[in-house]
Amino acid sequence: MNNPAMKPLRLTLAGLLALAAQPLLAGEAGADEVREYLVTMARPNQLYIIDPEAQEVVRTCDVEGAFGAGTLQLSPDERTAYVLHNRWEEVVGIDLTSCEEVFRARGSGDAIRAKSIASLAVSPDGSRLYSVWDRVRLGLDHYEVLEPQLAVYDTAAGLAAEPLATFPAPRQVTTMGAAEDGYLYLAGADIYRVDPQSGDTEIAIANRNWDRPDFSPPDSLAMWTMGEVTNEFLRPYTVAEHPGEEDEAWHWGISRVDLATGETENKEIAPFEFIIFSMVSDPRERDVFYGVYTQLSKLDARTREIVKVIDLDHTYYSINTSYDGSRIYLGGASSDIAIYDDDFNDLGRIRLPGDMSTATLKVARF
Amino acid sequence: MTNNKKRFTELGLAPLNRKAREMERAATPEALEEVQAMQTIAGCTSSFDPGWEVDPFGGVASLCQPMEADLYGCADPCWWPAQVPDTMNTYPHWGDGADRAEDDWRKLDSVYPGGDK
Repeated sequence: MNNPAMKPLRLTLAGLLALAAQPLLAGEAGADEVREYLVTMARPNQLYIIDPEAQEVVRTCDVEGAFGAGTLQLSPDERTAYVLHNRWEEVVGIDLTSCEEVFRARGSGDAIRAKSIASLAVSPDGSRLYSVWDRVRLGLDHYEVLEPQLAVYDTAAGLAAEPLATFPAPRQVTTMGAAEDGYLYLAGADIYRVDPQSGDTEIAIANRNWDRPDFSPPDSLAMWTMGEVTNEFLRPYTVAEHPGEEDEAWHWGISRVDLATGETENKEIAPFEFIIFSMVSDPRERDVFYGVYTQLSKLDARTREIVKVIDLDHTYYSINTSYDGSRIYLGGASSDIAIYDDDFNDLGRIRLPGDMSTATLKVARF
Repeated sequence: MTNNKKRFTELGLAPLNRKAREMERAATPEALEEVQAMQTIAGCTSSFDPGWEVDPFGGVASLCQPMEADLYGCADPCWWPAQVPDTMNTYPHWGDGADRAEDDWRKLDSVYPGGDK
């Protein structure tokens, strides 16, 4: 061990081992091949880029500030992730290829506390970022609830971005999607269509205000915006048909906007037999849906049947699929990401050092 | 499954204090229809979800499994405002140093007025 010739050799080996332990992103390796990555946030403040095939973390980005809510949206080239951060009060853009912070906007300021309840969207050309801020003016002896505000940002505005424009927004808005027709879609009591140039707002899909005498009002939970694989904006709901009658029947339904065309639909898809927190459609068949919470389920809207359901080892909040539809990814809630094939065979787990809490699980290709 | 048109007493719920008795008097069946639960999913003043009780089917199978998996997922958006501190606003550091609830739940303490904020 005292042979001085050994030292350079040991360093070389150490270097090789270090290289082997740091998987490279496809772009860095010089490969032309586009690869698929999972992107998510976890406590205390890390953004993770994960190779789902190798089932390992390939990059960890520290995002300055505290966790919350971990809501993610991707740029159109899927190389930048925008995260709702710092206790729901800031939006931070992170370059996934370098961990560089490229954008930051703060909702709060001037004695106004602003929180965004998972409301983020990026325009299809990547030039604009949208958020809805729920605002409260903090007085010395009272709080004043202000009008929610839709804020439009230039994604090139840097690290102290101010809105290009603001518009009044409906209350109770959570998830958002930006369509190729130029409109923004906001999930609130109804699904709203907003012109981000003028702020003009109309109901695109009536939910609370629907006119369906045989149905109860729907009940929705919308906190996770996936849909980047299928280019759609989707919100599941539960509803009672003939409520209070002898033949009362409960269903899962979906409200959906095709972000390529702006086409909307609202329909029941399967019986309501268990809770689903988030849902995505199969990229190969848009009327087949996967849902997750304490179970992983497959629902077929064409037959309105539950095709398959399995119990999970714990709750997951956020579901996504590979672009070819062959793999299903589960995240959110606890600290591991689960991977299943489309027949629900367990393909493995990726453990993270912190809880994902309410974070979105996104699928990026670059 | 729908009990919206029933009074609380018809559901076996008896008011125990003055506030609850006022609520029973005020809550006509018509007024109950005006309550819109969910669709407002987060924030300490907007969540109607009471916490760890029963699922929509009257059982527990569709609740958090296990509680630790959902601890931050429910605490961070203030979904359980009565059960855990408000990490959104008043006790933002409650979970510091306990990043993975599955392993670190023992580190999570009660909070006290005038304590760490």
